[in-house]
Amino acid sequence: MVRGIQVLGMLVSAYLIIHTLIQWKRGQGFRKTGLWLGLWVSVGILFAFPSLTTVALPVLAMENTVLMVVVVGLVIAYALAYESYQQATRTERKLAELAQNIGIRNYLRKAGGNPGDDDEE
Amino acid sequence: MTMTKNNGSIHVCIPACNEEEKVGDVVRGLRELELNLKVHVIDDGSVDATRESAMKAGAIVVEHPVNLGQWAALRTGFAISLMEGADIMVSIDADGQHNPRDFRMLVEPILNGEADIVIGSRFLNGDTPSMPRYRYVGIKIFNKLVQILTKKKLTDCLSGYKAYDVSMVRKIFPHLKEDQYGALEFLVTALRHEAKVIEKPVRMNSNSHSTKGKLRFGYNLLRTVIKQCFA
Repeated sequence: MVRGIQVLGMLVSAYLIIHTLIQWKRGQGFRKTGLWLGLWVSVGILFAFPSLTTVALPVLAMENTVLMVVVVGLVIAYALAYESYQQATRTERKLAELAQNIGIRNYLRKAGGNPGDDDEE
Repeated sequence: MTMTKNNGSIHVCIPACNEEEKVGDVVRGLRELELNLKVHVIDDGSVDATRESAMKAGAIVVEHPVNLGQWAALRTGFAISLMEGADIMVSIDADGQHNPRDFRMLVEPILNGEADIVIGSRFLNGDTPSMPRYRYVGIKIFNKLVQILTKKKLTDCLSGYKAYDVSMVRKIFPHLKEDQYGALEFLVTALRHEAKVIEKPVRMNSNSHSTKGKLRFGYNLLRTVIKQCFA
């Protein structure tokens, strides 16, 4: 019998799968889409067939299903947090570069130079 | 009087953030030297009248739309000096802690071909500069780290009063990775490229507004030095 939490889990997974596909249509890369889809489909399958977790228990050398889900969830959460941190760092670097280029371009415009020359960096 | 080589010019880069009270005096002090300098104030996202004060004093203002940090402002200054074909670039703090009268002493060794980088050292003139103890200790630690990495003994590797031969900057620039807190990366990279780095004693006006020496500043400098160990 399907429990309420399973239905909720599958609905959330379905929503996230659709959201990922929309992002793909908007131009998100194939690799990123594949990774996210893999994650959400796995979550959906685990909610639909919770007994599958018992198959993974001996593979991960764990005895308790709940503990396994918590540990695997934490590992995934840490990985995602790290990925977000890297993304934020890259964005910050790009913004800094952009701000510097704006400063130099405005300076060159005022000085009557050629704004296209500002790629020394 | 003009102090240039190869018909080039001397650029001064003053990174400034919310320094409306002091930046004008610094610019005027430099202009009084009558050295035909091109003084750039890099207004690093100030929310006060830094820009107006600098312009009124006769500086050329380059504006960052947002605050990017002192090193990013210096990088902008370097980029402009490279683009405009300057011979020498001098960096000086906007908070008035450096004395423009020491300017010639910093520039002359480069003009004479004796150095690629001249550091204005606050510790070579016999007096102990007035600064918080933690900052003093921090500078000593970073001097030691630079010495370990490059075998070059310095007394004030973190001084903001420096003169650079722009041809050397052109050589070093592509190797730099740090957007912020890159002063030590620059110095270590330059020394590894066999740049001639010397120090000259400079006078220091006490300044309580400086943010250098704060914990975050120290941490980020340490991070860049550690990166240099593996570079």
